[in-house]
Amino acid sequence: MTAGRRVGYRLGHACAVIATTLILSFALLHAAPGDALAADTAQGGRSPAARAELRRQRGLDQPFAVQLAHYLGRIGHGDLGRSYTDQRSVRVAVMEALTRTLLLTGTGLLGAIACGLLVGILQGWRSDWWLSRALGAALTAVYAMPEFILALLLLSVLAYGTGWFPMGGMYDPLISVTGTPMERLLDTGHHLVVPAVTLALGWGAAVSRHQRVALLETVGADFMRTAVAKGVSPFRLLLRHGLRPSLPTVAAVIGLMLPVLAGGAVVVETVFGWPGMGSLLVRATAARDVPMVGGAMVVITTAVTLSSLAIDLALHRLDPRQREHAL
Amino acid sequence: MAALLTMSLVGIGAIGAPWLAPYDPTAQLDLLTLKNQTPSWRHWLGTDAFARDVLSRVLFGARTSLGVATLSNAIAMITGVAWGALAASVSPRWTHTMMGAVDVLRSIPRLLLLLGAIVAFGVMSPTLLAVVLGLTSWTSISRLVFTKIRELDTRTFVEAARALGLSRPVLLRRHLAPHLLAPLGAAGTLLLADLLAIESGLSFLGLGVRAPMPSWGNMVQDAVPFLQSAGWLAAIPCLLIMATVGSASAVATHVGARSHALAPASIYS
Repeated sequence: MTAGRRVGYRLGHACAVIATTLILSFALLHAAPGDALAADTAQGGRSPAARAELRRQRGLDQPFAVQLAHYLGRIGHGDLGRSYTDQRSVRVAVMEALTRTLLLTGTGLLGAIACGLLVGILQGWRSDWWLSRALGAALTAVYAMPEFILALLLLSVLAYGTGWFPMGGMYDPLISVTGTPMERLLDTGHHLVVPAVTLALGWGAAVSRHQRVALLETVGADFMRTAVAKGVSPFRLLLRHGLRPSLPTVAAVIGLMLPVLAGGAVVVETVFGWPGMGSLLVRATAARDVPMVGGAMVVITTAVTLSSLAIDLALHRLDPRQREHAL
Repeated sequence: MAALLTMSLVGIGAIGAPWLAPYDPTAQLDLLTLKNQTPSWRHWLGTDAFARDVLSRVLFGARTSLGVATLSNAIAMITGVAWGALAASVSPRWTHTMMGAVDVLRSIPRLLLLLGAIVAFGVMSPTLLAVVLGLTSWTSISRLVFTKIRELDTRTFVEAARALGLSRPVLLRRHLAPHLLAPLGAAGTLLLADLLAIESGLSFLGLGVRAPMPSWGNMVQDAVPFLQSAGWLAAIPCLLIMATVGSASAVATHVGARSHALAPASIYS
């Protein structure tokens, strides 16, 4: 496949994913018990004729395909409907939660990249040093742990045990009202630490595993021996010769974490009471708030698809081998 | 070895729960005196906030958690193998459609699919939960089967069998299936570990197996309010989940490594 066709395939793939999600979320609305009217609190006590008239006005008596077209049209205008539980606009609720989630998962991801790369490089470069072994063992243990267990462990040690950090939420109820902007910022940062560390450790374990393997593969390569023979300094050898070939692998692993970045770390957010996408999804699912779940599905999948498309195209640039003949 | 031992112990506990458990897992024995008791001779692992015997709940919880994981694993394996093998055997145009569909499904975050299904069905029985989990997890298996068959199709022994006039089903069953067993075993065990973790995570969030039926995940959920006063209540199911998930993936790694060593590739071609 040539580069151009590959890009074309990826674009088509991205469109198919978004289209599938749209249809799924519409089917969800359609299949769930009751329709958009049943949730409308204003309909109590209406006569059957009035209900039928209301159904006609809202287009609920139209065929499936027509309703789907209307639904897509509304989404195209940025209208994701209203929540069944509190009548809030789904778009507003999702966007609000999304910014909070990106604050948490973005911090976590940065931490994960930093600690994962550091440990991975250490393990791949000086694999027999005791420190790299100890760190490797620790991260493997973390890697094998389901997320909620790691979260509970850190919560009980860092928040309950030492009392250094708050037990959950995003801000202190008192400071958020009376504090200066600076105090509020610090307060949110303080609340951010433990959940972000949880994410950073969990994802960092995955990054470090792949970084280690990628680096180990490079260390034995002929061009590395050539570089040593040429008299390249160890530091430059690692930076310029050793790490470059492992970039695409690691970038791909980080790309795999994107769904969580936008979708919210559901478990971590729930344990720490962080009011982001994850908490929103869990609450909406438990309350069977169909428009909210469907809207969140559409927003998250679109965000994830577009960013993974971007990563894929970036990978293309990072790896000269892929530019010529891909797939 | 230790991993296999752990897995079989958990398996025995799960199967034998009705005979091994000293109490009814949902019975609230004595709400006044038996709340959050530490382990004792009468209650080996203590009692929880609703005065239920933790040992009995752990045993029955193993039954639920392992049951859901095994059933969904079986569904995912069957669907995945069938889809992958079919896609590798039909005409190229259908192959593109079928594997394209797999790629699209894989790109939608699985958690969103799961939550969507939970919203559509409402409260789910463990069986329904297993079906939904299985139907959202088969894509990786089908990718594996497809790639493997495609790779084998270029080998000379497959060509020879085709030249002998073997039909595709016979070829698949007799000549390709033996080569698929080892990698499928490894991938399947890994998927089992994954499904166990997902089920316990969902139940922990209150979206999977619901109270009063015990599962390891919802036992942790019940214990969270007492993290400070009765930490062992959360620790017991957490340790069990980690031990089981950990040993399942250890077994998978082992099978994977062995399958490389025993790969028919080193015998033929």
